[in-house]
Amino acid sequence: MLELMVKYQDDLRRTLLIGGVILTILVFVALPTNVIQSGIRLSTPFVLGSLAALIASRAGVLNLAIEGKMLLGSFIAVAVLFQRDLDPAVGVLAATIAGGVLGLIFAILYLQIRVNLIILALALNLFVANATVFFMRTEFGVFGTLADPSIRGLPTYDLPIIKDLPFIGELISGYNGIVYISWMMVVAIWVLLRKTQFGRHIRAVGENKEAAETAGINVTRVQIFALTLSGMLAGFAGSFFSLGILSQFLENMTAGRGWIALTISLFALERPLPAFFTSLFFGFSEALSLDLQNSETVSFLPPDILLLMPQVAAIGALVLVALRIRGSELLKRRQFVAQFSKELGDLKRMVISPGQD
Amino acid sequence: MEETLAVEMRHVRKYFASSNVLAANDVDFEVRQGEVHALVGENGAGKTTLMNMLYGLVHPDHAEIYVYGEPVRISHPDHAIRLGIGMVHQHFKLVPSFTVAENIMLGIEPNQFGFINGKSEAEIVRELAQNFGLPVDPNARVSELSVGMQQRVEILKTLQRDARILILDEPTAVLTPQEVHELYNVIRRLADDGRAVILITHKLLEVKEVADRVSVMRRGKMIGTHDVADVTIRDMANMMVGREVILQVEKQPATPGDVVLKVENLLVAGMGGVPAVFGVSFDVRAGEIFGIAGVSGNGQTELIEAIAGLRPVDGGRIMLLDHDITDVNVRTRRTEGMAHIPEDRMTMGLNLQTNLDENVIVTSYQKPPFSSYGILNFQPMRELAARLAKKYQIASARVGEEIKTLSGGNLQKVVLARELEGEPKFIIANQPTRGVDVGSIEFVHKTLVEERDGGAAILLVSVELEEIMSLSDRIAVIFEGRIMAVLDAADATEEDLGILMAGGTLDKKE
Repeated sequence: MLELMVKYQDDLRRTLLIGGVILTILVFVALPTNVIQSGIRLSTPFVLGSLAALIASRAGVLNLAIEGKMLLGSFIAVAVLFQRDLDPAVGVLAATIAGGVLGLIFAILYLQIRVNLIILALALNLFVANATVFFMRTEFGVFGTLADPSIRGLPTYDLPIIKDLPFIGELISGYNGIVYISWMMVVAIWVLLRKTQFGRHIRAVGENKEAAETAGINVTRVQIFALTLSGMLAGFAGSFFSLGILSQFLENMTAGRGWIALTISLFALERPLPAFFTSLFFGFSEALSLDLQNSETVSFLPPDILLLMPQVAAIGALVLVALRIRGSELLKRRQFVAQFSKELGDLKRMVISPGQD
Repeated sequence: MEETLAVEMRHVRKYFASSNVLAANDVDFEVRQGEVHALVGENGAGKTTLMNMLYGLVHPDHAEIYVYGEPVRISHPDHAIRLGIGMVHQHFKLVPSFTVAENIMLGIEPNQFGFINGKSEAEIVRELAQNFGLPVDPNARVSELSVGMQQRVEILKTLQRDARILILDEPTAVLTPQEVHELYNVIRRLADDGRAVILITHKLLEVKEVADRVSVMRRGKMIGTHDVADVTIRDMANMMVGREVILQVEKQPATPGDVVLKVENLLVAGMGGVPAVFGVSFDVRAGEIFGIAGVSGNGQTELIEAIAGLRPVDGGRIMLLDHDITDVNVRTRRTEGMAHIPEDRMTMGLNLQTNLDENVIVTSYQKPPFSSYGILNFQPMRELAARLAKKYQIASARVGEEIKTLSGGNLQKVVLARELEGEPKFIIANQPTRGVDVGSIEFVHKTLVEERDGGAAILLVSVELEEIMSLSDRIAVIFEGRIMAVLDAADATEEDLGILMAGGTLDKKE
């Protein structure tokens, strides 16, 4: 298996790419418009969440607290608007700030006080999950659902010109602001990582901390910034659940999507554009299985299994990534053996080493 | 008029509490402008630590440091860079996915409002490379470069930061002979430019070839500084290895029996894809001690790990009692009669977090009487621990008590007791007396000779020449991963071994 992967590495990559393109075309042709639209909507928290995860990973910290930061974002967005009659954008902004603050706290606890990363992340996730429930009961006196007429969802916008394009127009227009901003964020994060000094320092820190350190970069500061930014993105993503899809907060609203975002980032090898497309895939799968669950016609597969598919695909993809790394190590060793066995053989033929028995 | 020294370090002291090592013991060191100054010593002599203190990576307990006559206190590499000090580490500190230019300009990127100007970056690096006659492709990805080219990038990195004092830590360890030659030229040119180049190394031929002066360190102490022209390789080797109290070991002549271990044409990869062991062949017979002498870092560790089953073998084969064990796991090797006294008893030899009982049965816990149906039986464990503690005179070791408070010598006795229990046919003893008190050294030596007389084949590795000479029946000398010669211990003189250890041959009598 490994050997085959080494041998056909390029072919494999090409096959995956072509497969992906064919799949995308099939999706757009085969699926009804409303499913595509809901897929794009549902992929938005994945897009933002995976960007949050990858910016942290790029700085060398596996951000396992995305889930908690997202959940905090969705709660804060609604809590701020509750009976205040404010614009929903205020809620989104508050969620982003709250995510950023949580990211900063996370960064300081991990980097300055040196709390174990995994314990810290798990504690944070549990804390947010329970704290939101606690405040819903004590502050707002509700159980399970926090809703109020004063909480309005985000308005949708039609993009001028684009909305009139045949076929594509209705697919990429008519969403709320967060959806559009998430697309811009993909480009923005790509530019940040590729074209700016700060982005390069993030990549250097994540890839070889010692190299960055000896080059005079303040590693801790870079990581704190990256984690704060990551938290802001996650909080922003969280607000989409409570104000972008519904206009209320539900207990455990994110339901593990923060973890999926982390998987997406890993699968996309921590690159923004692949993360975007992987997020679309997950969004479509979710939309499709929702559609099948609601439809009257009996599908050939139970919808629960369809719901599981993206996760299965993610595990498979992670295995492939790991195999690829092992494969390249194997290849290196092969090359070493080939080169030096030959040299050794030549040497033996040329001289008889002295003194050996 | 006397020229100001580039670097002057006085009374440097550094103690590592965690490993209980005095890495620098009142060390004085100075480097002139425009010279290549070699800093030699064995692994662990304190060379790298001393230079890390100059570069701000390690903070001394006490030191007076002057750079171009100015007293300084260097707290961080950043500070060292500003003082004009550059260091090329043994393990390169490069970002593999970055290009050459991106690596060289890391942290000092030409930018506008935070956006990097990639074109001018490549241009700066191209110009830099041209000025110093070190051609590189600025846009090549570092992960795709050869080790020699990566080193060149590291050197250019320090030059771009305007280093006047260059520290190179074991720069030739990972290079091919052609690359080594090229590096020598570069070093020479940089020194002729007026820069001070400090070359950390344990290869004495290299010192002769490229350095102007040499400072020798041994076990945290500065032994002396000399003009390279005034000293021979043998002088330097003697200063490096030192003359310890010669311990007399009483032993009868060996009566070698059948071949127990046979190593054929062994090839093992080292760091950076360069062979650490290159075509080594030898055999060890029952009832003899086969010693491997050499300056540490010449492939001993890799060789032993390959034989012990801790490192994959890339070529050749290893036979134990006529069984091919080249790709066999450690437990099988042990059941076939191999015992291994590892180099580092603290991390490989023992588990310091647990008690004596568990430490003496870790190699036999799965066998009766220590366990039955997967459940441990504590009574036999305790009995064994008590018996071994008595037999090996492990003072202050108590059954059921943690061993971390024991002294180095007693810890080594615990390892010895465990490994020699069950009458192994083949024993690897790697640095068996390193960091052990004199009384325990004698005990270890005596025990090894007893095992030999009992018919065991023993492979002894040590960087202490006296230990090798007093214990071994035959001596092989290893240099840069090759066996230079195998001598009968009776015929071997310290001089001959010294020459072989430094990479010389005995063919041409001078």
